[in-house]
Amino acid sequence: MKIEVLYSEAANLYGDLFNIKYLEQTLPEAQVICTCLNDTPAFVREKVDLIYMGPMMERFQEVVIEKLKPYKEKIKELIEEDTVFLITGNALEIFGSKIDGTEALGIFETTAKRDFSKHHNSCFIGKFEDMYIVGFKSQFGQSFNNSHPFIKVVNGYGINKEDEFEGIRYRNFFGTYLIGPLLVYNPPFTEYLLKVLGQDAEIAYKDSVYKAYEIRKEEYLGYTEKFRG
Amino acid sequence: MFFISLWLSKLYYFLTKRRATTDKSGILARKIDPNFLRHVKKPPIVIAVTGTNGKTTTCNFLVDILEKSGYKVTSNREGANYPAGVSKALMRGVTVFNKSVADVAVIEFDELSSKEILPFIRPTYTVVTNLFLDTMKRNAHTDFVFGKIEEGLPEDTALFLNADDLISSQLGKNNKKIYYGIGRLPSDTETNQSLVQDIRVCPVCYTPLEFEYFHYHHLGKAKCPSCGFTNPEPKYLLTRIDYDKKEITINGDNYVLVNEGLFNIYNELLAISVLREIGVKDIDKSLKSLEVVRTRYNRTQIKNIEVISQMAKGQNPIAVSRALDYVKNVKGPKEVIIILDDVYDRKAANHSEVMSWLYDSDFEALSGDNVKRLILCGFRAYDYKVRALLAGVKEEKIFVSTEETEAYKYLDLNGTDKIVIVHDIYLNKKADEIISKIKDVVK
Repeated sequence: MKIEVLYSEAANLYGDLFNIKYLEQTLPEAQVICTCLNDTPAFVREKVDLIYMGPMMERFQEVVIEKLKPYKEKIKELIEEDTVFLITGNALEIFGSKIDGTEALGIFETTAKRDFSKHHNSCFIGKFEDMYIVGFKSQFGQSFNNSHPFIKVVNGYGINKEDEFEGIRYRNFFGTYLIGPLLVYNPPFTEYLLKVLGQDAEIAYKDSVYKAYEIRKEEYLGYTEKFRG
Repeated sequence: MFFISLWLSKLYYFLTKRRATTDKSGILARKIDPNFLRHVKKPPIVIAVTGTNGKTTTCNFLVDILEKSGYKVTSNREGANYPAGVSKALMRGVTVFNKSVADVAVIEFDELSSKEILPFIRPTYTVVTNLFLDTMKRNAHTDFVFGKIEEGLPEDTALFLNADDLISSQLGKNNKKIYYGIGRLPSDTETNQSLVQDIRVCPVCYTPLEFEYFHYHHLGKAKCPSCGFTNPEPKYLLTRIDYDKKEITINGDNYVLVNEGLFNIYNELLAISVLREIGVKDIDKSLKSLEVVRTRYNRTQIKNIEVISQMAKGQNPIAVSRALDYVKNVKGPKEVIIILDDVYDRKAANHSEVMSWLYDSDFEALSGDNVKRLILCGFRAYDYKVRALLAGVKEEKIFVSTEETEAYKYLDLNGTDKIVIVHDIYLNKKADEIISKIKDVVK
């Protein structure tokens, strides 16, 4: 099992790299490759099972787009071949077609708009297949025109304030604005992802992680009004 | 309009018996004259202090030493660091005829309020402690805060910048800059010991920076191997810390070390640098006569058990990490109680605490053998438990107490002589309650 973490020297905000640290503790044999901004990504030359990228300062989004542009076709190909992508926070916007005036990778049609006068923070609960997904949001941007919805909003905000769905899911590409870290806060989804990756390991600290998840799920389902954004 | 605002503000201030904690006189002044900050006369020297950590401590140092040295100082140190608090401070520094009676104004301002304050008070010196990841909800990330400070910087203000901080030291491209810094120390590390390191790549060419050493988090000395980008040269350099003699050396001169911990030493260094720059004499003599500066920790002795309570701003990963690092360095075996839930986020309607900050905070510091028990408290206790497990704390050492004040029940009081309580700044009463319950049990 090979995991490639893209640009963790820049895309490292809000503790989201613990998505990978949690996978490492679950799959001690997994090989983790950290690719820096000035490196050629591993997925270009070898088979990688999971590609991860997390939230970053907006200045870096533009840098990352430039770094990944030469590999745009390769990324499309990998997605069509069912390689697993886990993309969290505003890294999601990089795979859309535009961020404000900047041309993004254009893998998906979504367009992102940022508003630096409104830093959005909220809690979230939604449903993907039969699983509840919980998480948090902390972002300046929203994405529009999404045709590959991921998580149905139960309470909170979608990929934009009006959308009923959060995130982009296409084949094994899972992209979401949710920070958490998602995998630590959502054991059912982590188990699902392990299955997609063909791994049958038990998730690390299963009892405690489930306990925390159940408490949060009950709390979030108990809110009768919409979460404050 | 201005004089009406000044007089009413002064009258209100006088009638409310100069209540230190309220900024209503400042709010009033701004209501009547929205340009009050521009119109009110400023003292000959205005020092404006900002940055993620250490603003208040730095201001306290500056005000105390300046006053001991005979300067008349007006400041907002008892008030808010927003325009209203600043207005109140400057109102107090003038007569009813708007004549300045103070020699110096020491103004703390919130990083995000730069644009509403600096262009109107045009500080002689704008002093920046550092820039770190802060409470995510408000401050997002360092780029955002950097931009917010820049928005308000007047071109004619001289900047005091931390040379060891490759983020805040880049502020004010066109301003006059004076740098301060700490040289290599025995406690430095060659690799980063913390999760959060707010700058990892060169801001010019995006090559990973090569750090010669870290003081803590991203503070230290680094160079870009590709384009040569590096730290600026400090004019005021601290070269020695002697914890036994309680002494520090800056540019060859010795000063009393007021408060231990690098975190605090930076504030003292910054204050001394500013004071030297404006020509204050006998700084060391004044430092020596300072009453002990309030610290963020307390010690209580209960028979043979020493209980240390250490305050940390919850949701602030750097503050929490520094507190946990302090716990790690408390000598000997100890039991640790953590109470950091955010009471305000819990009370707020349709809101719940965003917990990502746990994963930016160095809970790894608690994974050592000398932590015998870790008692995690509050509504979010299971989130903390998962975090502790991921940090490598052994499960059998972890206890969960959803009711904070019941934490004492999980202590092994026979087997310990040291207990450390890490608590949020708004949970000091709960910490005190735990201490009094420990007292009851031990008696």
